[in-house]
Amino acid sequence: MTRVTDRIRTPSRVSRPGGRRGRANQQQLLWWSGLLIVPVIWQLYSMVADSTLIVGPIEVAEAAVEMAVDGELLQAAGQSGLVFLTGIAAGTAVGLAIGILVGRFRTMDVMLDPYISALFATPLVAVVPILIVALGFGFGAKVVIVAMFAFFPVAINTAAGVRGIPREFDELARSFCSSELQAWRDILVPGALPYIVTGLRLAVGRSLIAVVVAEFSTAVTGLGFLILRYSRRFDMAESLVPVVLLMLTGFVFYTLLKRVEARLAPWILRTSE
Amino acid sequence: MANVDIKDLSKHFGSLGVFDDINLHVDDNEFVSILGPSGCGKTTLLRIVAGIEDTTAGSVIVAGEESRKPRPDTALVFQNFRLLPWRTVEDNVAYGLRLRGRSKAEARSLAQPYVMMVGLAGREKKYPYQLSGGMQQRVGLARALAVQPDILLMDEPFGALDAQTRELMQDELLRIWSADRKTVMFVTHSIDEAIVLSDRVVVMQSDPGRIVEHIPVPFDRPRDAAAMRADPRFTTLRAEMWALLRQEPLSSDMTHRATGE
Amino acid sequence: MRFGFAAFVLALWYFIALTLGGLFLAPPHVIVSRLGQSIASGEFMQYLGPTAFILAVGAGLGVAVGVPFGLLIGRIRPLYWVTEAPINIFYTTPLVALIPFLLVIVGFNYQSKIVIVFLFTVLPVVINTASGVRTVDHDLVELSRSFCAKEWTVWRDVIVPGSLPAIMTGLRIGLIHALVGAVLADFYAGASGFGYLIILYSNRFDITGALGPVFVLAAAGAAVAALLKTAQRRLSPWQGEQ
Repeated sequence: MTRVTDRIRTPSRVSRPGGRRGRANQQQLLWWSGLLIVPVIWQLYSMVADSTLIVGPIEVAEAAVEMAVDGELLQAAGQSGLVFLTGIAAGTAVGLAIGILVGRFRTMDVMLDPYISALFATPLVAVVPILIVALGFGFGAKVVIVAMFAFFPVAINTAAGVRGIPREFDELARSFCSSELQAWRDILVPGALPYIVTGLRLAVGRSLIAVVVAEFSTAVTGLGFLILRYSRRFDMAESLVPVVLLMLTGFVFYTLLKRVEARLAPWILRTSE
Repeated sequence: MANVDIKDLSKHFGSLGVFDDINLHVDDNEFVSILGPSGCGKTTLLRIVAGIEDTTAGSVIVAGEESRKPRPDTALVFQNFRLLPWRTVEDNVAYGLRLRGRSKAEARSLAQPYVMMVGLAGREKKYPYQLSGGMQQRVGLARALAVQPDILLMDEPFGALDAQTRELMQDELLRIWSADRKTVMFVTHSIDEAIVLSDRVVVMQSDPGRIVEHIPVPFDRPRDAAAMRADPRFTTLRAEMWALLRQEPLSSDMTHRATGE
Repeated sequence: MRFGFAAFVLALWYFIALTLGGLFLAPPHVIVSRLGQSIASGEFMQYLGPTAFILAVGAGLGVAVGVPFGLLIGRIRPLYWVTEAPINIFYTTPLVALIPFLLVIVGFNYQSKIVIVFLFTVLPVVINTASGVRTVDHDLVELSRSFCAKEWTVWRDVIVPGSLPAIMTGLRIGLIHALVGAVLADFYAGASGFGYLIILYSNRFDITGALGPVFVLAAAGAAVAALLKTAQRRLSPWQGEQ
């Protein structure tokens, strides 16, 4: 298993002397205008389009305020958030442990790697209806589904990170009478941390999908259920509120973890120079 | 008691013999260098004493106990430093202390005197990549000293440094060692380094790896490395060791070249 | 060792299936024989067809749009910066949340299924292609410029071959996403296709029946990943092992 990322890395360009600051400002300007273009076009389109089904961001915002005041948005977000956090925590914990075992011990690698790699490429959503039949409609079933989605990228990246740690640190640890668990704490986890964060970032994206799929399939609680209920009534503004909330959540987590990735390992960036 | 007793020690990697029946005694508070060409098994010997390499036959007795695993009363300094790249200087020095159950804050404050001792005060928060090779090995040395071992095992600790830095580090080690005179086993392939630092130099030859001579270094302590190098006794010792290393069969062509000059 | 463990997994599988009952697992040979029956009766093909169709059209469109668009925004710097935020936002959105909305706007039909598969495919393709173009060594572009190369020759000689590995990565991720999109489209957007077959059997508590299509999908995912890995190595031999 090698590290999985969602994209190849773009190395930071060597900036040419002169005009560096000016270019950075220009980039910022373009970036922010790009961010604004989407809602603006959406709003204009909704005003031109001759359909009550096409609602603009302003209507969605109004609906959001209404639903927030009502308390129903908060309640649904709380339900989804709890499933999301519990599931991702469980999936990450198991993924970390399995990833370290696979990365550290050759036997574990030989035994488990084929299964983990194959299952990672499997469209896991296909299993969701079966899991719901088996585990029911409750909180536990949803957590299991989310954890399953979060597990794979964390496990695969942790294993790749641990495998990349030079064996000589093993000797260092042994010469200082370190126990196996202390070596995990001092060497394996920090050494693999940049990889683990990449895994976590991928896990966040997949877990959000899992939450929504689980809530669509069980249809009793959460943001997914709100989307279903309102879209079935053709209340488009109300049905888009949770969608936008999910978008924001995904984007915020993604951006944050991307920042962490970049800041986490100054020593790696330096040694590659 | 902090002595090392190596008895009839043999080491083979598969069918490849490194050395057979090595016997060596290192006394309390003695600084012993093991000098030899590459391939004579000097590093392997040290690694066995450190407990990170298995033996094939024979035994190592450290402080009166037969020893096969790493012990808390010995500490190893590696040739390639092996600092944890994700830890700052102080946390690298505190590594061994943390492993002995100290809290992070406690370990840091216990490590502080050793950071000072190796001359890295003010650089506690730097990461290894921000340090030069010499400074990195100072951290490696402080990390070993911080666990207050009775026996210090050093595996060509200055081998990766440039010549100037190397001499500076030797001075530094002399100064630090004279404070509490721990038992030291110091592996090197540099004759000068062995003489400057040790009470006794154990000369090894390769193929098969064996000890050929024990040469005491009669200089008084505290020593001044520069003065030592100017001393005629230094030149004599140096020549004596050179002669022993020259008999080395594998480096025969080097000998020809040396004598041809 | 590997085979020993595989035997252990199989044994564990039988053990769980036979002791915990058929609620979420069935013995492999039963699943296979059910799959055989399903193929023999024509049911398998009847449900496979629509999914294959939406996959082919949706993913095909996704690649056909994604690669050129990615090349373009990768090469033209201002365009890259304008599109970065919206592309990332849609990329990090759980697209599945948009499905009910799409169904209302596009309709409960094949078009919406194709749109879903398209959306799942296009984003990773665009993102990887663009960052591939941006990683192409700028010195090489300057080199060909110094030989008075025209823009299109620069593309042919430097940019496209240079970004090919990244494009292949994008295709691999995009096609795996397409598979997920197709299953979700079958789940929620109309009573047809492989995904619907899974729902159909699950709702009847017939886990053995439902597991057959799941395994076919798993095999498809693994095959897509393996195939494109090989293609990537073939197409860019200069890259070495990654």
